[in-house]
Amino acid sequence: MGSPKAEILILTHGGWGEKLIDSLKMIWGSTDRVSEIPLIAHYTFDDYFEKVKGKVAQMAEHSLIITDLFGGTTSNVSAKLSQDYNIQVISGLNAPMLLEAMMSIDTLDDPQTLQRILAVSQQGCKDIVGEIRASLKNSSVG
Amino acid sequence: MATIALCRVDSRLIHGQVLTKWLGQSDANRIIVMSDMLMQDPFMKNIYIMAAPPGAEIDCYGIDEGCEHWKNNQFGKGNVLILFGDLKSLLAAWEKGFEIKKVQIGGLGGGPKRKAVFQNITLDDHDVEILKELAAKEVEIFFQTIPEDTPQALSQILKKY
Repeated sequence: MGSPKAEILILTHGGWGEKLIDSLKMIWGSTDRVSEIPLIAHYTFDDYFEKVKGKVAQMAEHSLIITDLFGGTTSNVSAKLSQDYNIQVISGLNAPMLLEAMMSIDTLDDPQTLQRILAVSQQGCKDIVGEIRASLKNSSVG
Repeated sequence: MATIALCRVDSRLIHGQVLTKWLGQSDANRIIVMSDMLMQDPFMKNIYIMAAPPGAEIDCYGIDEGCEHWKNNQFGKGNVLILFGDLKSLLAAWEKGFEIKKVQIGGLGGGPKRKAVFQNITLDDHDVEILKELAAKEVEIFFQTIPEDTPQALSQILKKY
C-alpha cells in the first residue's frame, strides 16, 4: 500500500461548492476525493475552524484546499490551518480551477501543479463578446 | 485627524461581508482592527493584513495601543473603518478614551447560552449589560449585518432578548 492519497477540500460561503462538485461529476466522472465544508451564516470563526480542522487533520500531506473568496472567512480559516498542517490553499474557486485540480489530484505534491491550476483558472475568465469582436476584426482585416 | 467612516463590532473581524460590502459602502480607505486577542496571534494578524484589498490599508492594534493612537492624533489620516471583535473590547476602548458616538453591531459569534436577536446576531446577559452601559453613555447602537438590512435600534433589539 502506498502513501495516503491527496484530497481536494472546497470551502465556500453557503456551500455552493457542493453544486459545483456535482456539476463537474458530469464532466469528469469520479469525485471521490473531493469534498466540501460549507460556511453557514451563523457559524463563528471558531466553529468553522474546528469543522475544517477535523477534516484537514485526516487528509494526506499536499492535499489542496480551494476557497471561494480571498479575504473571506473560508480563506482566513485555511490560512490559519496552514500553520499546523502541510496543506496547500488557493482562492478564487471556479469551474476550470476545480476541474484542473481534479485532473491533477495525483501530482499535487509537484510545485508546478499548483501554478498550472492557477493559470488555467485565470485563463478561463474571458470577455467573450470582446474576444468575438476582436476575432471578427482580425479576420476582416486579413 | 482621520474620519471614522464606520465603527463595527464583528466577531469575524475582517471577512467577506466587511471587504465586499462595508468597505465600499462606508467609503473607507483604511481598516483599523482593535483586538488584544489578535495581537496574541501574529500569524492570524498577518493573514488579515495580507487580505487587504488594493487601495485599503490595514492596521491591527491592541486596545491600549489603539487608544494611544486615538489620543495622539485620532488615527492620523484617511477614512477609517474600525473593527472590534466583541463588546467587551469596545467598552474597554471607550473607557480608555475612544469615545465613539455611533456603533454598528454586525456579529457577536455564537454559543449555547446566546439568543439570536436579529439575523445571525446573538446576545447573552453580559453583552446586554455592556450595551446598556454604552447606551447610558449616549452611544448610538444599531444592529446591521449587511447594508441591505434595515438598521435596528438597540431599544428594538432588547425587546427581542
